[in-house]
Amino acid sequence: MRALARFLTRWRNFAARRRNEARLREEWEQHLSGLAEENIRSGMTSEEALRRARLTMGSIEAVREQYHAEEGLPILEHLLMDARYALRRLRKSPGLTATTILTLGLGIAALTTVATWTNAVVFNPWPQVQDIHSLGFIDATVLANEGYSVHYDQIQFVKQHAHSFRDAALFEFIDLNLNSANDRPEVIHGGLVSTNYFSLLGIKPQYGAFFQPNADDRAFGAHDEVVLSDLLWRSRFAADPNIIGRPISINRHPFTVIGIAPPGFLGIYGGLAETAWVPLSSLRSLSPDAPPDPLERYGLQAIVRLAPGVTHTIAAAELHTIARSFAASQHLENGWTLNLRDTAHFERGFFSGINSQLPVVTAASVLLMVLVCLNVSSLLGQHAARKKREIAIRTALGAAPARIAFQVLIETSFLAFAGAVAGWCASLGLSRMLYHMLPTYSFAISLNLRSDMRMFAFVAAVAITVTFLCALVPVRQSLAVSQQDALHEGGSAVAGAPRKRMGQRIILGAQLGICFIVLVSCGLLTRTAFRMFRLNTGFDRRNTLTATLDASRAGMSEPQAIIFFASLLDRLRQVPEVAAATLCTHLPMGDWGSGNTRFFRVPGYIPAKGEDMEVVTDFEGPDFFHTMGIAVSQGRDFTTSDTDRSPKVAIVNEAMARRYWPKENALGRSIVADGVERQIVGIVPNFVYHNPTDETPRPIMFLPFLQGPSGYGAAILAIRSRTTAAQLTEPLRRAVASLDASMPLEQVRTLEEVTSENYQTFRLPAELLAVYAIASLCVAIMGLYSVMAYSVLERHRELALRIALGSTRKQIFRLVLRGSAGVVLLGFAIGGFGSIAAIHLLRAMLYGTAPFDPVSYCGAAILLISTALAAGLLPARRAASLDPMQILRSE
Amino acid sequence: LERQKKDVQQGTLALMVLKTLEILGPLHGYGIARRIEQISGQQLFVNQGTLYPVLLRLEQEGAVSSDWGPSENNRRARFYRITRAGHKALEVEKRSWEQTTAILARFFAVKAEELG
Repeated sequence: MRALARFLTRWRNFAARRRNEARLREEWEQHLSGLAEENIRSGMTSEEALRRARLTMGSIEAVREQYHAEEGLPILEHLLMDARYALRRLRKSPGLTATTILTLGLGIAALTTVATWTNAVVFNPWPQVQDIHSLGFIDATVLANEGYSVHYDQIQFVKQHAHSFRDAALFEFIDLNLNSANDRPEVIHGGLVSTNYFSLLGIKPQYGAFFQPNADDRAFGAHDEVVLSDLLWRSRFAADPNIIGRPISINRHPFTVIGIAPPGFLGIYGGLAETAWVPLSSLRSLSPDAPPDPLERYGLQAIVRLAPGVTHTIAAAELHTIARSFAASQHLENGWTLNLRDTAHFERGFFSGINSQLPVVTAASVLLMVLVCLNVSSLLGQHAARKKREIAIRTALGAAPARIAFQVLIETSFLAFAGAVAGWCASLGLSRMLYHMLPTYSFAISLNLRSDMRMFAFVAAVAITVTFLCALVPVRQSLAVSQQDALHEGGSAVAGAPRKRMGQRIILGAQLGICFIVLVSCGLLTRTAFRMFRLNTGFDRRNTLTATLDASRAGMSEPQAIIFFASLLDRLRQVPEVAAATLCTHLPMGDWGSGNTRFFRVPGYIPAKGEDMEVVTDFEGPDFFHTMGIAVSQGRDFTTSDTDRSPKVAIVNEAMARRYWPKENALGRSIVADGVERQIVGIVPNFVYHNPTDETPRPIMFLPFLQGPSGYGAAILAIRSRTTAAQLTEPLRRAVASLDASMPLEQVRTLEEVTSENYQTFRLPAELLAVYAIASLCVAIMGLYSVMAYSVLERHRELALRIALGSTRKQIFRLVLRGSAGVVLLGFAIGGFGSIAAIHLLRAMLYGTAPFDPVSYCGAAILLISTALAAGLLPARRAASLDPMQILRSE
Repeated sequence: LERQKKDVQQGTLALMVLKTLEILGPLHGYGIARRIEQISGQQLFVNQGTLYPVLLRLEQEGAVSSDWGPSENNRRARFYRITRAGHKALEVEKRSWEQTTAILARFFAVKAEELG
């Protein structure tokens, strides 16, 4: 208590800047007069008495500091004093200050951007959702592949039997047509959710209510209600609170708006934005083709809330047991099981795309930050060396080494925190800009990129670390100042002491080494991306326009849709610019509809035990292979005469033909798909189905879309142009409008745009690393330049003497440039070793490019040498143009 | 002659100040210094550079309070008096010093044979 009371008094004194000079002085005078009186009593004259008293007492100044130290808080006072002094010093060298803050800002911006994304993806993806740590996802393992969606009854079974879960909800991404009276319908991305979805997540509506958590998900048509997101409510309904209770038309069916979700909540589908939610029980209202029980085989995502006190491991084990008993009861074979995923396991939706980039980008950001720190500490070290005399004077006046070190630390911390603020601000913009660099999945993306407390703590921690790292060199530099040397006027040696620059050189070498690592990595990824792009895909991506048409959402049944599509293709073929027109359920290298399988049987082929008789199946329109530029190797393409009245046919790819008819020709044979016997009328060569890195072609079966039924209410149009794809957009719109004015055209893109999404996986890391490579080169050039410029300044006299003694300007120029040769060699050595680690990280991302690709290495080396040359050019030219007479005379 | 006087040991000055104030009542700084020297039989020398900071600290801790008052020669002087907290602090300090000296005394008195 006493200590606290004393501290508070001292704090008050400090805060009020109170210095009780008067009190000390008065006490002093009193003491003095007491002493003097005593002296008089012992027989001295009054002057002598006072003189002696003063001699005994000494100077009040000596006591004042000690007295004052008891009075206030000296540490804080020193801090303030040092802070003021540091600010003054920084103001006096604006160039250095600006360079340092900008460099630090660059590094911190990159690091913070990565941290923001990591935070958005891993730590705080849905700020509105309650306690995300007790949430988990469930996915299924099918045919030894994880990540499959689950069915409604599977999760109901788990809910009934498991004790580890408090609740389980189901959801799936779904596109909806939002109709309005006179406009064309707007396609919105929404969520199809079980009624307990919102209550499981712990979200409260900002207006109205959410679905009744206990309502029956199978009461089809009983609750055709919709919950709007704040985003849609504002953009489409002008934030009108009276919308609650009113019907809106979705897929040409009335839905009652019952609630508005809180601002910012856009679903939990891994970054893909959902803007409205409809219940599972509305499935039959959404599509005229829906089977009596649409939930029976509908693929859904499952989210669970763990019961209190249940760990993830226990829950996962219980889930496996329950899944096994479910599989046994349903006679599911081939190792079907359910897996529990924590929310950080970003496998869903868009997060998976970030997953693969994050480690590389993090590593690159850390490297850039190290580079920046090296650079700044070498700049500050140089600055400290220039301030030698000032420090020597301070030491001579009695400044303790601790005070001098502290002073440097304060100065560095100012720079670091200014850099952190600059970097943080920049990262706010950068993290949003990164959106545009990411693959365009043609979905609205929502990520929680706001800065929260976690980000604040991160930036502060970075700033503090940077302070200590960057202050090391200048502190050492300042403490090593020898008073004699520094104060000795003009006594510097003719040639700069080479050993002193050793540390400087190592720092520079490390900087160039880091540059080399980033350059090599960037080169490798670029080469991979180019290689991928040049790979033969087996189809022609050029001059083809694609668009999605969803007839089901427009209220058409499948037979109606087939008639609609057939007449649309007829009209398109009559357009003069159209070379060929078709439709399909999946475009080569497109994401949509990829990998859907059907059960099949080949008469005469006896499957091995446990062999899976499902095959990837696409439904294609007439002239599909012709339109895609794929030459049919045997038989024929689909034609307009393949209708529901004609004999059932199928086309298979070569991989399928070879696998199931190994000894004979598959052409003309029959195959039973989904219980319907079909004749194989064509065999097509293998082409890239989805991913350009898929090296072993998988069997694929193609069925004629117009022969129906396919179960697809939507189709992708593909039209090959005689000129350019862009010229087809208008004719396509006109053709669709002439058939159905209210049918929206979705995702109108060229085939090149569609396929480029798959290349983006390779292009993106290369592009990102290119940005890092440019940034690190700039930082390295700056560091090298400032060091060389300073060394030329330091060696003025030496260089002048050389010129005076007969060196030619050319020789001087070369001499200065040669100074950087050692540094470059060191850079190669450090970078060479470092790149081995980098390659380890990158190996998974390199396809068809050797990890020690000579082109990448040579390119990086050439760039590095040119960097060193560019940085040295100006200082070398300045050195060569010195006037020896002037310099030598001025000394 | 004064050279041979010992400066007051660090840490013990506060104790001496409090004890002096307890016995003699309110005193000004000069008086305290003189009294301590007197009590020590002129063997100690109180450095005024140490005394005043110590007085300030004791006041901040609430062990003493101070006020202006007239000195013997009718000049204004700051008088210090011990507070109740000061009495208590003195008691605690005293006991701990007695303990310390007792322990030290035992060490000085110890002989090898006594330890067996």
